[in-house]
Amino acid sequence: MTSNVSDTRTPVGSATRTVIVPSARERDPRAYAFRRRLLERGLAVAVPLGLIAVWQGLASAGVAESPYFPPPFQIASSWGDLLANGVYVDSVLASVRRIALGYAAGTVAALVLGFAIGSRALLRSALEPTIAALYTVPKLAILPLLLLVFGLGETSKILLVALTCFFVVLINTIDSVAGVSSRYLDVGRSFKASRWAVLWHITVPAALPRTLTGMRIAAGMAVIVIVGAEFVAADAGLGFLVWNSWNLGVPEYMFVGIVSISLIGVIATALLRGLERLLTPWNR
Amino acid sequence: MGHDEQVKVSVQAVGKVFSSKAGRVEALSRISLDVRDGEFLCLLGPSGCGKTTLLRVMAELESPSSGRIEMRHDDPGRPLSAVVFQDYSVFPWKTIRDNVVFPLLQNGFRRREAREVAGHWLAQLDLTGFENSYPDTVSGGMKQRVAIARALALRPELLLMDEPLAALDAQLRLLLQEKLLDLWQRNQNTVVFVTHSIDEALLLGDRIAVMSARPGRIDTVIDVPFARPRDPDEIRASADFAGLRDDIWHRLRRELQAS
Repeated sequence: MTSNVSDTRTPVGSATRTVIVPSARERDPRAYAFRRRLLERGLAVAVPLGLIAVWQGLASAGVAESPYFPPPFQIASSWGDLLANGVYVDSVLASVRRIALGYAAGTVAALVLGFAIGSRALLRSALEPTIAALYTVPKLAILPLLLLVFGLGETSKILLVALTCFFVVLINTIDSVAGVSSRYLDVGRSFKASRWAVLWHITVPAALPRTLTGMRIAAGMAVIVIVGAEFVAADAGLGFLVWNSWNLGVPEYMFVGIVSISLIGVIATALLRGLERLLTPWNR
Repeated sequence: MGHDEQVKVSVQAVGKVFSSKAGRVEALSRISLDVRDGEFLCLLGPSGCGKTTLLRVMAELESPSSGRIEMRHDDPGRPLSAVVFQDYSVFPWKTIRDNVVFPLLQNGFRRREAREVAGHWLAQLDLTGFENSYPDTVSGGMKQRVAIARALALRPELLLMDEPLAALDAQLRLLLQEKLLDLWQRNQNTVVFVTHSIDEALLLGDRIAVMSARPGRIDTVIDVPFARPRDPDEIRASADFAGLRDDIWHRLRRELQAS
């Protein structure tokens, strides 16, 4: 289907003749590209829908009946209930707020420090071992400490997200800044560009693709860590919804929470991909 | 040391040693060389002979380990030097126009002026129509022309070129040599041009400093007798050209076999 060549073999006596003609793709490249895009987008939606349909089918047929795995329709109707009584919107807003504030604080701090540390070899030697050691500490493990210092309020949870994002973005930014090719820096020096001009016109754009990758990974980790924090130290949020539903023995609500958390992760990642496309147009 | 007005750059007993874990490498050994005002000087030698290092020292990108270099800066309104690098020096994140505009802005041009100057030099290098393209969407030859336009637009008193055509295929290389010859004959900057191609050095240079390998030394300096303006085809067909090429080749071959 994607091949550029369609060949027809016709017997001519004992020999065969190969005829090479333009494929459908070559004859109408725009229509081909359109159909291809449609197919790709369609598959991206159809596969998860298909999996849900199989789940529903199995449940309806009584094959996989279990109180712990409610069928999709039942989860959807519980979703409706939670929306109607306002619990759902409150949970989503509470989690999204913590993620957004923590992510913004951690990422901005990491970007500033990352560019400063990455572009100075001495700062790198001084700080890299410490940063590497702190990075490997599972951030959820210091939640009790944060709770002790900052209490049960929002601060401790936002800080937890901020710390998680901070180290991921910091390490990626330092590496990408330190890895900027000296060829480009030589060009700046040979043109007598100022320190700020080199930073803004050379180091930042050269380091941007990899830095943005770090920011995307951090967004996913922010979602993971906030759910963990909300399990133990919150009275609102999607993590709390899941945990509380377990306590109450309502698996439908648990699934509503789980699916919503994963949707938030998907949306955050998509937003950052959009940002990447916007900020690095030369990479297309 | 006495200096006559004609000397633009005076390289005096310059040495350069690179030290690394692998040991000490003496890249340049007591190089002495004058670059005269307005001349096109080619540094010719086998790879690893230190010609790029010498150019980088002149560009203040490397510090010499010994000796000194004196450069005369006549017009404070123009930069002393600009470098055309070998390859991959055009910024992929800037459009072709912005690649040329950026150094101009660093050298005191206002944005509007800089855009006009950039447009002029892009036209000189046949890049009109590609101003808004990103470098990775055009060919290697075009990228290298951007690098040349970027340096020429600054109107440096001294143009330092580090094998600017080395990464191009043979035909494209001939075309760009002719372009460079044409541009230089109209602008007459002082040029130091690093190359490993004998033909290129003979076609473009007024003088050729032939270097020997490890540690880099100036083996001999050859005056190129061809009158200007030069016609590339005529020069390549001449008997002098063949004779000089042979002469230089034998020197280089001795060097290569000795090392």
